[in-house]
Amino acid sequence: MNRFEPTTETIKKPEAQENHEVPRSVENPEELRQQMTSEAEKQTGQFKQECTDDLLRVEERAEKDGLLIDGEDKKALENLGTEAEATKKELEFEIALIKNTEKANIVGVTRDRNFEGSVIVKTEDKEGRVTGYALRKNSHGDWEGNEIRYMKDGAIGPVYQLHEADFSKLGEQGILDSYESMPAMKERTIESPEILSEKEASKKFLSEERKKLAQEIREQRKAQRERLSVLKIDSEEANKSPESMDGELEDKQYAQFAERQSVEVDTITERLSSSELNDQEASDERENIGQLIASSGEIKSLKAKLEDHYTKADAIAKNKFESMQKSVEQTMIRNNAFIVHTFLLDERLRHNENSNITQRATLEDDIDILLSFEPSISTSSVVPGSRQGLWGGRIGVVLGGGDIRGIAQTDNGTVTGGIKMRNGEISSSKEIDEKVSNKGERGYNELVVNNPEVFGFFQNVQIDKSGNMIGFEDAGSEQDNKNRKEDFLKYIDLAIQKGMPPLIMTPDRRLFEFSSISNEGVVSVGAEITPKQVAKGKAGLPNEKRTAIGEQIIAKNLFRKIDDQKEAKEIIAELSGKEKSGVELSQEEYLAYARDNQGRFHDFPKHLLEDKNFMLEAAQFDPVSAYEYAGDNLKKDMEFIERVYSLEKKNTRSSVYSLMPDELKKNEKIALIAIENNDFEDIDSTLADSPAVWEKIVDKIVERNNPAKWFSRNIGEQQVVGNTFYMKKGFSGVDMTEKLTSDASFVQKLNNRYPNYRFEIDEYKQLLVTKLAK
Amino acid sequence: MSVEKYKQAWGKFQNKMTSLKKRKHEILKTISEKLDKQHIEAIRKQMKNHE
Repeated sequence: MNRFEPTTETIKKPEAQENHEVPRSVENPEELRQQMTSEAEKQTGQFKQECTDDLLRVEERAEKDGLLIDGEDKKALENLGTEAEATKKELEFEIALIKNTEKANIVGVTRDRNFEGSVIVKTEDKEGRVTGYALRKNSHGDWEGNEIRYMKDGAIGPVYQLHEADFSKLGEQGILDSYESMPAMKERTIESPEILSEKEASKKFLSEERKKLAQEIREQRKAQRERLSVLKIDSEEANKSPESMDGELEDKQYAQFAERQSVEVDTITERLSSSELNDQEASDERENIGQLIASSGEIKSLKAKLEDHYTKADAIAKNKFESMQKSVEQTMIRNNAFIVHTFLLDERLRHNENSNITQRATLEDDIDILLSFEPSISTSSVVPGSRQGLWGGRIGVVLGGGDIRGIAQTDNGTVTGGIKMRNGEISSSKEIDEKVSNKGERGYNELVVNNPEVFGFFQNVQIDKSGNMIGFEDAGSEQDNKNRKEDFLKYIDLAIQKGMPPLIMTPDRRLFEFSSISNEGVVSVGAEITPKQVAKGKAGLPNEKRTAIGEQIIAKNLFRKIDDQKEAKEIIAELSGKEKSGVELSQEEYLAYARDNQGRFHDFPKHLLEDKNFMLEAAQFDPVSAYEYAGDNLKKDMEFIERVYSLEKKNTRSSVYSLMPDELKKNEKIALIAIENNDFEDIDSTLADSPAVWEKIVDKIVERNNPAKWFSRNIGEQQVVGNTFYMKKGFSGVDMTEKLTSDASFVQKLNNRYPNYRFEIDEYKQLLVTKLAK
Repeated sequence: MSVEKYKQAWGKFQNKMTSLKKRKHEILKTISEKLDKQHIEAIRKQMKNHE
């Protein structure tokens, strides 16, 4: 090679290099993705190596010939490796993005009574075709299922069985993940109630305290031993002297000695004093005996502590036993009764004043609240085979778990005191049993149940003359029957959606699995379910499902009190394993609550009620209530008053002025603002003497009296206008009509403003109006 | 559908890699040329000293 020839000829031109291609034939995205990733890795690695090798090569040449490589060129060459790495990362990022868009377009996760035991994940492709995947797991935990093609009208079309290989694809598309999102009642372990012994209760319920006491006893024993040995040595020393105490004190005797009471110790002390021990010896002995007295006292105190501990353990054991006896599960088992909570179908009646939920809540919301927060609720018990009443509508839930607070033979009118609290009697398990076991024909009783866990959803049916279960009466027409059937199935479907097994309850309070309903309303059922099965079956949702549903409810601001809204958040926090003490409502949440529950500011925190910015935002939703509940200082804030007036809508239930503090009502400037905003029905009568206020009132009454709005006669005819006007003195009205009608400027202003009419005060001091022109 | 997107992303990657390779070629060419120039200068200097 000519030594002057540039070395570039030895460098392969890029076009000539081998071209790494991802096979064009690959059509499987997963395979393509893998090939691209590994090929990109290979190419960038190779390129970086080439850069390093090339640099080494030119450096060798430079060194050999005593030449220098331009620093910038060297750096540019080194940077190429970094750029190649970045290019690879960019590709990997794009691959990840595309992979995400590969996920199936899931349009719904549901259950369908036609595919019992399965969760249906519905997907929609770009052409709008809906395909469902009915998924379930067999007893080994393996996937099973069907692919369902839906028709355009939503009806089920062809159904295919899914095979093992299909599930990996469904997994990649995120369809299997959706299966897990569907709620289902949780498995439970039901313990049999038994009273534990003091010792067992101590171990089970007071283990910490037990450990602490055991430690104290150990320490005390050790101290006792040490004191006894000191005394023994000293006494042995004393025994060596012929003048010492008579007789030998054995270890055993020392131990007994330690247990004696102070009286005995005093006697010994006396004896010691009378002996011929020297002063020092006698003093030491006294000290030792003193220690023994103290030690004995501590032992006694320990004994007392132990007794207290076991008394406490016994009380806990008894309480626990009673709580278990009062549980929904055990009460059902003992008394062979169901405990049910019914729903009213009429939304106007469903949430009466005893409820802490607003009437905005739908039936679905109610079910969600019950499933997620497990609030304290009113229930009734029924014994299968008996004609016993239930409160309210034809649908309800059967409880599988919960804690019974108390029972009343009839409606006890209990009310809520928060989500987890309902008032009413507290009853013993014996009192509960007496009422629940009643098999006689009766109306509904009322049991308050805390922490209710739902077993299933039931719908009541009737029994016809042939003994058929009837979901609805045959309406005689196909269309009406269709509507009635849909109405019946609507609740069954809702139950299935919520993960609650759909059940049927007969008039004699027997419970069956729902199977189907005919077009004529005849219900087919599966196995009969006993209270014992309910008590031991699945009930309540797992915590993560409760959390997810609860969060949706919280976002709807359905609780009547903001405190309950906060409690709801606390319940969800605890379900998620967080401390409820850390729960606070943000300003945004208070505002959202104010938006959804207009006028409910009264239990907002004081600092918010004094916060002008916050209250002005809240006033957007209900200005009068915002003013009513504003803090005392804010109520007097002129800007706040003006802004509230600017927001005030017509037809509000009361005026802003009437809600002002008394001293503010006498303020002329405030009154002028109120009158300007047409809020002058309650103006304080002391301001009638203010020319500015009176003039403003007159102007507003003139403005209000536009005859075009109310004059109903023809031209030339007359009409008397009732024109009474009252101002306020405290809570009483002061009639200012005469002052108004005798005010010449009032009539003059009316005539000037409405020239097509003539206004005058007649002999009876009434305002007489004559129509002059159209 | 996603296969097409993957292929497009691959094409983009390939273009960038080709561009990097070209730049490497250019840089190496520049370095070699500069070294050659230095070398020639050194030889010229040597020859001049011989004269």
